[in-house]
Amino acid sequence: MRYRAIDEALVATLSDGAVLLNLQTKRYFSLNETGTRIWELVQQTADEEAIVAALLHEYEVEETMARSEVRRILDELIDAQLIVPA
Amino acid sequence: QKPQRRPWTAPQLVVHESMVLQF
Repeated sequence: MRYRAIDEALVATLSDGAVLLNLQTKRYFSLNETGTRIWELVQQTADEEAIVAALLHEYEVEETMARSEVRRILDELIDAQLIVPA
Repeated sequence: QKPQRRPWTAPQLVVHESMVLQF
């Protein structure tokens, strides 16, 4: 499955995460460091499998855990209307 | 050495109040 960020999402990256503003809904959000990395990977690859592969390379995490956590955070980003299927 | 892998922390998305945005 592939995703892309909505055009109305503004992002400010911090040292330990990021702040996101959805200009459509006027709501804002924060992501922790891992969540921010997933957000960046969505912009770069858009592909869920590629995101999991990148995280396995960069973090000390089991594949099952990475896969389920990526799925969960993508669902949350969809619910927040910050990303949509590409 | 292999590339150093970072410790894993579960990704977290926190919803905040409306632009209430306290300043």
